[in-house]
Amino acid sequence: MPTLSPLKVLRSLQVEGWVGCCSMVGDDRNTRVMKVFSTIASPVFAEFVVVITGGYCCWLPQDVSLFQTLRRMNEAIFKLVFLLEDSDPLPSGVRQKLAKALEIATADGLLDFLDSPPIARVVRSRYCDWDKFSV
Amino acid sequence: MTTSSATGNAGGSESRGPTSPVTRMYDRSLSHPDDSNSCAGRIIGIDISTRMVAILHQGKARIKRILDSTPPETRTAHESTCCVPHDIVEMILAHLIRDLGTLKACSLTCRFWYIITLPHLFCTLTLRRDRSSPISEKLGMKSPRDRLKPLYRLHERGLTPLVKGIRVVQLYPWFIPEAFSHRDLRYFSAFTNVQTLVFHELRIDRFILDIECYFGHFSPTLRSITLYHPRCTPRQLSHFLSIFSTLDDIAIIGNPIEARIAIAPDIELIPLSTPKLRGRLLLTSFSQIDVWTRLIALCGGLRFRYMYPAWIGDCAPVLFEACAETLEILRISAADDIVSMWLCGGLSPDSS
Repeated sequence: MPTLSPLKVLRSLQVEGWVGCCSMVGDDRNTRVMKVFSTIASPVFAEFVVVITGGYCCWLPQDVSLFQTLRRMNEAIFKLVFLLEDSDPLPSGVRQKLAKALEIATADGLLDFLDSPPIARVVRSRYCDWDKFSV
Repeated sequence: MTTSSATGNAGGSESRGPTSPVTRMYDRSLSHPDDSNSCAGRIIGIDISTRMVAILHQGKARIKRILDSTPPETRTAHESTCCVPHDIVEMILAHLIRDLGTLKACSLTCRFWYIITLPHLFCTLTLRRDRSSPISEKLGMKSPRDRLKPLYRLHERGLTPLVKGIRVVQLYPWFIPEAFSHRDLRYFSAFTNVQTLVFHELRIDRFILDIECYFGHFSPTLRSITLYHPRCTPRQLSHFLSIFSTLDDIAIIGNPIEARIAIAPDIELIPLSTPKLRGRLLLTSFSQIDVWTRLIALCGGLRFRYMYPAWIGDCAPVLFEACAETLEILRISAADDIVSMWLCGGLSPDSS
């Protein structure tokens, strides 16, 4: 069966396009991500990243099924720590929206299954800024 | 999300950037070196060169000495900037590598700042349609050779060695062998320090007969290549990629587009080198499996450590199998039904 199990040194799985409007993201996506996640067999696996594109960050607190999936992953497969990733060139308005979405999700108790409070970090995408340079 | 077994390498390879080491050093410099409690929370798990920290502390001491010895009212702005140690100014200005406007402003401050900012200002050469003369462009008064003028200008000013990246932007193909005069080709071959190439709709099929002549000089230094909708056959594409022996990162957006009439018939293409391919692979809407089977055969496997496949159809199983021993970071799109369903075992690769 084609799975992630042959990847022996897989350290991080990043999933994008998971958070969005409920009509766009069906329940089958949650099931699919859960299934993919459960096939990881790498002994060095340490990171599961949910990539949220700027425009969709306000949908995060409303996406209850996503948090339910995360809760199931936390209970059944790996212990999770929530980490909000923020790409560096992101406009400050979008960054604030992301932080606010995380705050609301925490306040609503959607992340109460975590052992530690959620944290945020800034990353720089290597493929995002080529267009800025010219002679 | 991070599992609780996450190690100190939380930044991942995406957090690499020219500013990070300097930021970390600056964070540390804010606290006294002996005050381990105050800085431990910020820099745990991050390697900092002790030599660089020593340089930073020496610099701070020098600044303090200079400022103490000169009354503030007697110093001009120029003197204030010049008395800061050069290595520290270099580190500060390196933060502006992505802010071209500020870098240009800094380059006008004084000769020293001009020299420091110069490598950052000219690190990437972009060749594209001349935006300043759209009318003459429409009237056909701009020949492709005019678009290669920056090569001449850079050469004239002796800036060619500073160029580390080249981007070619074209809506319709002008970057073709016919656009190069002997002089242009000489200047184009003078780029010996290029690490990144970005091409929009590169006519590989037009270059294929003399491909080494035009691109071979990039081979010793090129690390990363990005191709948007390359114009070639899959076989020509794999041959083109095989030129660059030190190539690590590949990004291809869109399937190769074959010319209706084959420019270069499918001549025998002898591999020129075996690229390393140990870095990142980004593929979007690319389903040409032949490109990868040829590269796998040529290189004896692939060794990518990061992979971001999106809408790549049959290529997914081939690439995962080839990189099974090396792939550390995998990015998938939940909206990409084929890859995610295939990973769930709900879809056989053949049916995609």
